[in-house]
Amino acid sequence: MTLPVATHGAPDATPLAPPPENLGVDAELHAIFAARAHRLAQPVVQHIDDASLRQVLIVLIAGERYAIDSRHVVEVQATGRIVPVPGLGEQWRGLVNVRGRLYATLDLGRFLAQLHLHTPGAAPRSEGRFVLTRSAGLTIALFVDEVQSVRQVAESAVLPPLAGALEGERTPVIGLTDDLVVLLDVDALFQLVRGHASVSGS
Amino acid sequence: MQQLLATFVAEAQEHLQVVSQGVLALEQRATADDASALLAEMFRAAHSLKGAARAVGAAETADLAHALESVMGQIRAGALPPAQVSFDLLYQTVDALGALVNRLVASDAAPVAVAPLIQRLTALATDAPKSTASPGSAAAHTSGVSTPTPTQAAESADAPAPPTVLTPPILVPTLGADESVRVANTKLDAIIEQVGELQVAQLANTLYMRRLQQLVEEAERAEATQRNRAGALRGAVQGSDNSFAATADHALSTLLADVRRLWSAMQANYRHETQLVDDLGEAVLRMRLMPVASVLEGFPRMVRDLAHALDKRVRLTIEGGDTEIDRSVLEQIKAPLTHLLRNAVDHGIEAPAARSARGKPAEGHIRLKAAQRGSMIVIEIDDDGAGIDGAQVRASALARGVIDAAEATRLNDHDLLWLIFRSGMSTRRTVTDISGRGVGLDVVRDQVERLRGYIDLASTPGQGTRFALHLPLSVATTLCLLIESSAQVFAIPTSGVLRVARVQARAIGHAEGRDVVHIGGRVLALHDLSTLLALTGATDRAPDDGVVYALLLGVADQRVAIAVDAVHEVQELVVKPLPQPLSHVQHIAGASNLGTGEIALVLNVADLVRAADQRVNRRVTAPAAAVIAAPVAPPTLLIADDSFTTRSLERNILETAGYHVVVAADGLEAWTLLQSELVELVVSDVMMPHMNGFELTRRIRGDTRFSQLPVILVTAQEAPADREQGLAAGADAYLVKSAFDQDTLLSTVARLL
Repeated sequence: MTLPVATHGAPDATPLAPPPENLGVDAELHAIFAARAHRLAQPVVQHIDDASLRQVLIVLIAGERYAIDSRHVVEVQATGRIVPVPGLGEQWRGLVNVRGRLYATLDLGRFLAQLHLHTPGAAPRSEGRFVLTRSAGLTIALFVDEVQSVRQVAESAVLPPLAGALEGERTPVIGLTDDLVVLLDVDALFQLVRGHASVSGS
Repeated sequence: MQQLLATFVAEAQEHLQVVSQGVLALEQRATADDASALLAEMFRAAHSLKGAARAVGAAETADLAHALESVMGQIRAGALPPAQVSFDLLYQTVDALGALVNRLVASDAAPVAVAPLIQRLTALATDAPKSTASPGSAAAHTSGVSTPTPTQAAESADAPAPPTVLTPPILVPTLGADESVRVANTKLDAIIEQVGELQVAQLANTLYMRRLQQLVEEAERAEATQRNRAGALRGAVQGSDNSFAATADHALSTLLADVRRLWSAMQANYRHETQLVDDLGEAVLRMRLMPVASVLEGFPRMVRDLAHALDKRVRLTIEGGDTEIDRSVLEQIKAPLTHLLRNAVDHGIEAPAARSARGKPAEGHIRLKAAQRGSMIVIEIDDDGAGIDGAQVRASALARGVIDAAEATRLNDHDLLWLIFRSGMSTRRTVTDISGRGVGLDVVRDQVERLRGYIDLASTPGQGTRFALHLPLSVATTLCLLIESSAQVFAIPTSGVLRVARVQARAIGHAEGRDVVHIGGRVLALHDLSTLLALTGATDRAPDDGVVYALLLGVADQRVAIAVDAVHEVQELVVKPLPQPLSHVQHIAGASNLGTGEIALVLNVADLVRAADQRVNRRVTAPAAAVIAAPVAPPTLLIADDSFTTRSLERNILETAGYHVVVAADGLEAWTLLQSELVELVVSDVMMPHMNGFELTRRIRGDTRFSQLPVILVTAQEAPADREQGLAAGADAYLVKSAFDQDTLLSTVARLL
């Protein structure tokens, strides 16, 4: 009989303490019990279809974690000088220059806050990173506080979003993971960005 | 039409060259694989030639190309063994097609007997034995056939004697120095962009060289000081061992000498490099220039049709069509010019009876004139119509809520005239197909200003109206003045800066609650740039050194004074549009990399002047509204067609109708463009290399992003089966080129959008 073995996250097998001699238990038997106990302590493996796994970039904005599908991520940059553009709405930080190319920089937190999908922090943020993100031919620099990690998320493990879709619009949130990472729908997000950029910036 | 014919001739020659080379290769026993590819290419060339010929109304060329296409199709399908084909007949066909094409532009060329050739080709295609051979099998026949003699060929074709070939072969093996080649826009744009980046890099080099020069000079001063001190020390301490100090002096002098030599070499290299970059920039600028006439050719017909529809008589004269202007400017002024001409016919020129009653000729006159003035091109549209009625403009602006009653009484005649450029304005009481929807002149002004140009307007009631579009000769680089406001650097095109004045704070007066300065012989309200732009941290002006920099900005006859914190230098900048999705931001024309990596926003002078002017007239005290203007761009249509002629024709039709058009030379390029362009409708040919129209349509329908994107197939494939295949692929409309006309295309596009 073969017990399932976790493919990741399993702690190394820790040998049990040697049996007290006064119990008179055979050392070999003890080892068998120890190995069995260790195997039983492993989490049950969930066989997940690779096709349903999404690789995402986890970013932090005012204490909340968001996931951006890595297929949309062009690169991550430390925030250099952002040139403010007068007349734009507060969700726009301005322009950044990445190797001679200019990109509009969207403050993701402020934009999501406008959609009532985020609670902005009290203090204005000047330090952070921007994630060059591309969808349908448009590349925007998304300003975030921090880029935490890259990880895989199983689609089947994504819970539905807390907030429903806005009337007449796609919601930019696909759902939540059980550890409260908000999975963003970049295509829908960009669609909203285009719409907001062309109607009113304030 | 002449431009379109010239385009067609160039394209036709390319197709004929493909066919001609293919015939030659087949005759010389191409291998099976080669023959299959060759036949496919020849078939497509004949097909494209047919389509393009139909697009320009060259019926004989289209018919002959069709007959040739049929023969190529039979050979390709394996139904007609090449052994049974007279290569002489194919050569004669190619030559005759060349002669027909030449006749389109050289009317004195001798006529071409087309009918006998078509008859022979048709007989060849129709009488072909019905073979079940595979398409590639033709090559097998080819490889085993010997080249027939002319006599054998004539006999095998069993046809009348070939027509006399009246023109020399059109194959041109090499290009002469003055001949031209067609280059794809994308390739040209890539070169232009690279040169722009090179100029920015060169700008950075200039700044580095200045800094390096300062360092060398500082090092020289330090070395001189060190030498003097060492000398003084040696004099003061006689008899001591000075060898260490002497060695150090020598080492420093040697090092500095090396630095000087290197500096000298770098200077020479920098000068050479600068000259090369300047020359390259100049060459690229020349590459970008095109005659204005290339966008004006459709206008006489458009004016005629509009006048006819309105029961008016209008004559359009065009002057200065050979004036050259930047290609990218040219591409963007067609829509504004179209709009102004439509307005002139609809609003300006009166009906014949009304003109006669006013003592004018029954036929109205519109003059379109282009001329270069310094670094600007001025395009004037002048009509001898009714002029603009100020009272009517005032009433319309009030009725539409563009102005309030107080402003209506305050506006003078000049300001009233400029109301027509406000959004939502129209003096037309009824909406027509031509104008009167209140959408338009604000868009025209917007488009011109985006090109860093401006519009001037003059009108005399009863006598006519003159619009003058002042446009930069080139938008590759722009000479800008760098200024600073609220710690941010901005660039202002020098074409809009009439004067820079250093004004003592105490010389700033106050009148009507405003700061006022004397500048350029005028008394003007002084507007703070940071307030106009609503910059963060904008404060009341309180200069530390008691000095204010005032810029006198001018657009047409409007003048305003703008106060800034500092004035830096004048630089030639490569100005880029703001990145998407920030398509248009009030007061901002674009952005430029200053070479140091720093970005300067380039200000829209016309916008600033207008905003400042409105603050004076409206007594606005609040900061300028922080909004992004609503999108004003017309729908973007994508044309995919491997025929340059057909692309040009369709593009002309659609642009004249006010659409923005992007083009692709085949289905694959169209699919690639769709990934980056916001296209609202696709017009596609069917037979194209790399990816045909059916496949393109299927891909569009199969992608959730484009599933609702309308697709129109415009093709020479007339068979019902082809139509069914197109519609099955997901096309919304299927237009056949033989029945193609402008109205059908436009009405189909309008229906689907």
